[in-house]
Amino acid sequence: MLAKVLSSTVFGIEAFAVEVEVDIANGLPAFNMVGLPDTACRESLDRVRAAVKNSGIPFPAKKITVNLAPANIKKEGSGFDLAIAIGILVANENIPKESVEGKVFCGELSLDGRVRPIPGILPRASGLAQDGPNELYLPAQNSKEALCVEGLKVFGLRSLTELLRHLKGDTPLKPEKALPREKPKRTDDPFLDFSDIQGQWQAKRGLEIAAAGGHNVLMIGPPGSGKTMLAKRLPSILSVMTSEESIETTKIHSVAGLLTKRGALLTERPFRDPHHTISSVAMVGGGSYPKPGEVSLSHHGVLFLDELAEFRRNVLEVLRQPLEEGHVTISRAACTMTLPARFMLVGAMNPCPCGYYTDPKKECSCSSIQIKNYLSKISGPLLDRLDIQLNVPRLKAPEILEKNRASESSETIRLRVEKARQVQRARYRGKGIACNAQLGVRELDLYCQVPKEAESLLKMAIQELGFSARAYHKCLKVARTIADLEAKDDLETAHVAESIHYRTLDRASGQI
Amino acid sequence: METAPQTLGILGEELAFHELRRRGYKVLLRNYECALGEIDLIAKEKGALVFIEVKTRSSDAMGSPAEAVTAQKRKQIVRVAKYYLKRYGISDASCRFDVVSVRIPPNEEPVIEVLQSAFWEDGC
Repeated sequence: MLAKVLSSTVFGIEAFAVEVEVDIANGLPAFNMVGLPDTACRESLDRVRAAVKNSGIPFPAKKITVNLAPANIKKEGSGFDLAIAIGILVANENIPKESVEGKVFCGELSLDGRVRPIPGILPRASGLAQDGPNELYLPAQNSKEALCVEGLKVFGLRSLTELLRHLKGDTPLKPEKALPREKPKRTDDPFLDFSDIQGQWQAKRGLEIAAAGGHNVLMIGPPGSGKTMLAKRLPSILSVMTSEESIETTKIHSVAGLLTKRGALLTERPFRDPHHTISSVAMVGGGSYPKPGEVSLSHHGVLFLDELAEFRRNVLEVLRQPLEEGHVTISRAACTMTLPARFMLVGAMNPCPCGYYTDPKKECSCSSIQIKNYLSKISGPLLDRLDIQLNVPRLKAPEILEKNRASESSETIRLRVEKARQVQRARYRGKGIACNAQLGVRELDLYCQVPKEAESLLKMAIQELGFSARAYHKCLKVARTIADLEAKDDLETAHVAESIHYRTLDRASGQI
Repeated sequence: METAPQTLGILGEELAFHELRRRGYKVLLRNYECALGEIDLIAKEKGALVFIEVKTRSSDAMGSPAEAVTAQKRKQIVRVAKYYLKRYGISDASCRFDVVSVRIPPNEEPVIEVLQSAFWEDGC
């Protein structure tokens, strides 16, 4: 007999429907799968066989053929176990055919018949909500994730037996109750607050502007000046995610399998700080079935690269496309996919190999060639894309010894950032732009009118400091953010002057 | 007294034959042979055609009898079974592969085990 059961799989962060067809015929007993399954998928047969047997149903010793349609798309992972098991039981007439119609089954089976959680539930759920049947059967541990999507009937399963009783109508399950959706919230870590940091007001100001406009930042300074400390506290001043942003980011984390521990929506902006030994594939994503890399995992959040100059050159160069486009396209022999990757890049580095080049007290032991080589690791194109370059100097004795810390708390700064973001959101409503960093050239002309007096300043920057066209555009965007922080409609000369000031390395390149 | 391997095998097949009959198997053929190999017993049970391999051991020192049905042996049995089904034009019959394990320890009662659906066409 033939049975058809619906399931779903994920490609990139998009879901598509898969029809699991099971045919049971007489003949030599065999269990085969067709429809381009990968190894984890093919192993599903052995899991299903054991799970069915251990749920107290003799496994039919017949010729069983499983087809995963459409057969031209490669299937991966263990998420089809549940649908295959149900398909076999329907084809073997253990459960009535009608009971599985209009239902979608996803989940991995363990040998004893329990249902295990799988990655990528949120994309599947939102795919179903758009078109397709709205009854979703999935592992209980994943149900929270699916409930983030409205308009679905979600059934969380613990075991195959439980599902069989439900489908036969013996002990029907109740659909999971939708919990009130978690609201995105600010990152709250009592141990990471800006008030911990003494001095460095200029760097703090730079980070505030970066957070307000979503700009990329590079911090340069001698060892121990607080670059890493500053970066670690950046999440505490970021604006709260919108719920669309939260869902998008959660989808990526769901596909990467990073959600099962928490189980529900990501409410805080992600902060990723990969070690500098990372490979380029881990950075942008890859594998024969591409999985999201660090750039995608930090979508709508922060990607912090500490010791930027220590990263392998090719790893830094692959950042160019995502920095510019806000997404990354990965091509493999099997497929090409585009993953979102709109993040704020925060880099920290020393000015030279020994670290003390800009230090007024300690002498630098590097030769000029060493320094040149060190800085040249950050290529021109990459440097161009770093909107704000901050000098983080060594703290002076009074700043270090200062006892009563009068510096601002993260919350105070965050409220200013939030206000500037609201200004931007109102201005760019309906244009697909979230913040100043995402402005295109055309919008620049519209929103960043340079005042007459500032024109000569910019002209000088281009001629004397060698600003590229991109650096010039970035400069205007940063100026726009500074104006937004002050709630000014028009750019002023002071805004432009400050934003030129934030291109330390462009200015320094003439000197080294 | 030690029994010679060949004698032990024949003795085991005889014991298996009687055990299966006792369990309601209708034995159709014993030692079916073709160019591809041999099947110890072919029987009918509950409407299914059963191909049976009998393995006999005097002790478990070298592993149990059922373990001795190697992947290669299973493959061969499947090949012969396919030939048999084709030869008699009954390829759509409901089939099964059973293994009968016979332990005949010297000076003790023999132990017979029937493993139903012991393996599948794909050798698992």
